[in-house]
Amino acid sequence: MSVMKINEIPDKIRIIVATVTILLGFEIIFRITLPWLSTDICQIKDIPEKFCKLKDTDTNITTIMFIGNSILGEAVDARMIESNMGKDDLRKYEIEKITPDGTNLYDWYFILKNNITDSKAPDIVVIGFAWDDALQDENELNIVRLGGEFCTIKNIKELSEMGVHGFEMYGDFMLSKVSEVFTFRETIRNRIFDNIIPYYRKCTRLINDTQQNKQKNISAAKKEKTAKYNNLKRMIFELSQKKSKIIFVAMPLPQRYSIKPELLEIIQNSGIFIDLREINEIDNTKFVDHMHLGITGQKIFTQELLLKVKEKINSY
Amino acid sequence: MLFNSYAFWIFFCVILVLYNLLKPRKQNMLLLGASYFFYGYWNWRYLLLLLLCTAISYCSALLINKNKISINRKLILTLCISVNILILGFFKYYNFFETQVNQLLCIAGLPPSIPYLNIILPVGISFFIFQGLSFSIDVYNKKIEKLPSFMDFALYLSFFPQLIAGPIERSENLLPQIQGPRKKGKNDLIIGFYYVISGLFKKVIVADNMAPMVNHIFSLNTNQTSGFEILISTYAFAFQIYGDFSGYSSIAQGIAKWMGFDLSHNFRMPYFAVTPGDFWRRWHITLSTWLRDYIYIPLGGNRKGKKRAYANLLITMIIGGLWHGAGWTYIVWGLFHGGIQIIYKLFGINPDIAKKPAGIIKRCTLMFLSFNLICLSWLFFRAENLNQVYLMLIDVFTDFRLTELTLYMMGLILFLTIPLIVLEIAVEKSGDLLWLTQKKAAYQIAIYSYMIFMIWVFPPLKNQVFIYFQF
Repeated sequence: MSVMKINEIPDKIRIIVATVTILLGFEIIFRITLPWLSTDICQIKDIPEKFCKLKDTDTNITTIMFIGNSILGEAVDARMIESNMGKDDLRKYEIEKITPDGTNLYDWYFILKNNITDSKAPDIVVIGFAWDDALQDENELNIVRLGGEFCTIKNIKELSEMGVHGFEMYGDFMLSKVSEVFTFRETIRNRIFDNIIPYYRKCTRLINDTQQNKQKNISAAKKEKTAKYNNLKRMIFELSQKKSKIIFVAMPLPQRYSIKPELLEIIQNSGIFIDLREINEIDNTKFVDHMHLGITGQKIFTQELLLKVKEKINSY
Repeated sequence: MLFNSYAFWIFFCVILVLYNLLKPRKQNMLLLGASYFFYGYWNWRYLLLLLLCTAISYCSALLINKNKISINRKLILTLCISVNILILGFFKYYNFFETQVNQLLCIAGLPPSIPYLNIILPVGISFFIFQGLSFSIDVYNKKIEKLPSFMDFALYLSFFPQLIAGPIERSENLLPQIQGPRKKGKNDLIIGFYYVISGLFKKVIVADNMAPMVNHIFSLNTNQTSGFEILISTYAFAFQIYGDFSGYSSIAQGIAKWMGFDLSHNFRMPYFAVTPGDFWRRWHITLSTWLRDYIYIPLGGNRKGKKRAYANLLITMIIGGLWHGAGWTYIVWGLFHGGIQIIYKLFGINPDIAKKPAGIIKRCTLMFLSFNLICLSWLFFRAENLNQVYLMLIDVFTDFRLTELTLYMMGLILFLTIPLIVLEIAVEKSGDLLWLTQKKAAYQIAIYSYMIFMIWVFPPLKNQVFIYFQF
């Protein structure tokens, strides 16, 4: 049997194979350099390790997991909480914070579901949310992010119950499972454009907001939808199965927002609700943009949250 | 099923595997079934419309072909054209007609009496109706003497790569390929690859990334934008519509090539045109040649004196405008194109002026002027109504604020289009649309890697549909 030599392979095949090889090479280089690309990606990659740390913690130590998106991430100083929590009582605390950018309830649900083991779950899970619709089922389900970062193939059935359907969504899910370049393409895109396109973030946000508002107006004009909270209930059920207590924290924003009574009812029935939408010392100057607190705001918020959490834990 | 969707590529892979396992006649049956599935996937009810148009065109061709009496042949052709135009008119222009007539009635103090119908425009209707019409007219003109079988004709009209956004194929090009044995070239794989990758690049990277900027500016009131922003977004739209439509045509050519079919070229670097007339020889070539052969020339073309030629040109361009959509903006767009072509003709400016070796500066100047005139015409094409065009034009010429958004848009346009422009310059210089496929392997690998990387990493946040589906 004769073996075909490289120079005997037709040019057209060589071109396609070489192109694919270059792209695979880029995928490998990207995977190696991933930690340097963005702190958010680092944070995501560290999630399993954080849960392992909680799992290995002594049973006498109370473990608290803060989960949310960058609004909670920028507002909470986890080390400050850890060092101050046990000051006045004999208990010891281990605090972890998981707050990947732009995530919502879908992501938090799968982070918790896929990382909490039966043997050890965080004693307390603190969920920080902002805006009235943050915990609704109508939130955007980012299938690329879920596929690449937070879900496994086993979650497909649950995803379909949550509304994932059609070739496009499953195609994106599968691609994000095999390619990290594909999963983190938004991060790569933003990194490159931040450096070469003037006012990239500001103008992209402006355009997105205008288009989203337009879409919202169209949807609102079509039908006033009743909010659904099935996924929130699903998460509450999962955590209660693992014997974790839940604390919901309504986060402060420059513009005050309301909370729907049906949402309030669910979170009050299933856990503890801490309303920090308004804190006296936090005014608009404490925000660095239209949602994130700056360093001073972070200190004030963390102290306030610390007090409230302590108070609630002591009342358990 | 969009060409930039997973659903399409799964569908195509299945069809391609089956296709290669079958003999030619059965391949045609498979392609016909696949084409109907492709069309019905969008809305199966409209398959009946496609079948109806197929039957009308084929039956009229049969009758014309059998009939030897000239007047009868003419009558059948007129009937065929009328029915086709009526179908197109109903689906595409009824609501425009209803609005206009009711407005006129209101002005006259009468109650609006034309009912509004919620009509969904069938995708690609303008394409397959025009293709069917050209077949009937060709049979009438005895350009086709031996009629194809009904199945071959049905496939000619519904061949899925070009069914919903062209190219508008002529029977003389596509029918022999359907009827005869497939010609497989040794470079089909790489040529198809080039068409598909460059098409996806134009669509996903150029067109879809321009769309949010363009949509943003055109959705605002003119008092919320600066003149520069409008100007830059008009340039962005020029690239959007080019990337969108030529991207679609290119992907269509690529997938057809992989099945052994050669579809017509629909674009030949249109923004390098030196006159508006030259532009129409490079832009949507299959439509402009259709309009030339079936409207402009039958109207008399330039055989009946200059004035008549100009009038014919205007009529043809207005029809071309209306073909794109039911609205005054499209009519004015067509009129504008007709008008500038006439002005160029009056001044004796034609592409030959720039052909002389010393004509490089002249060529660049003409190209610049022509590009800007075409961009101006895109303003009519994209705007919601003529009032918006008027307000935007005032802004463009009076408000020169260089805003942050202007710089952002300029940055994005340059980043996304410069590589494409460089590639097109090389293609234009070589005069060979498949220039890249003739180059050394290293060039090809570098360019394909770049394009695929961009498609992989820089798609817009949301998939955009193809603009030309609505026509």
